Amino acid sequence: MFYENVFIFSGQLSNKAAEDKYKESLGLITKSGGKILKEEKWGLRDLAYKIKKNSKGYYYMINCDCDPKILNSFNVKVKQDLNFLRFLNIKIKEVSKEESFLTEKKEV
Amino acid sequence: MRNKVFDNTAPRMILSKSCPLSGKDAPTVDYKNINLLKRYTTEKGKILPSRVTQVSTKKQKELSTAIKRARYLALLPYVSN
Repeated sequence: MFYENVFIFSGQLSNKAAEDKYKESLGLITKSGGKILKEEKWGLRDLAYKIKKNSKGYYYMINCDCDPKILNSFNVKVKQDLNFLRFLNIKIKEVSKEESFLTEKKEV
Repeated sequence: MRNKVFDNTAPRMILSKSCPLSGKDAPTVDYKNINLLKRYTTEKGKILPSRVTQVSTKKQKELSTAIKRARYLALLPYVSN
């Protein structure tokens, strides 16, 4: 199964702390046997509305190939973390090779 | 505008515009493509009806899921003032 996941971390974190959090969450997926096929960093963006009193957030997107159970247990863990604002995972048919519209380089 | 649409006495103009999101060169409907999605919402952030935008039923459905995903990720507002 291919999945597309988007993480949003609190904008109150420093750049490095957000990066660490991101790598930590990647580790959770790879440890339990998931494969990461594509990574994208969208950087620090303004949120359209406030989430947990944050008006900014660090966006990361990955495409992975893993068992749905892994993502389920991941979701449960993530919900306890206050710095984790949003987590979206959707099923996709294939991994697109093009960069998405939101990557840091593309947006000025 | 509303009256014009429902006014039976007015000479009927046949607008057979085709769907702007179908066809070969059409842009892909995706929750990441915010600039596209913004064109299909009102200033307040509501989704425009397909009868206004001429989008086909299939694509309108894709649009609405894309917009809802973008809203969840705070890329688009639920309501903007």
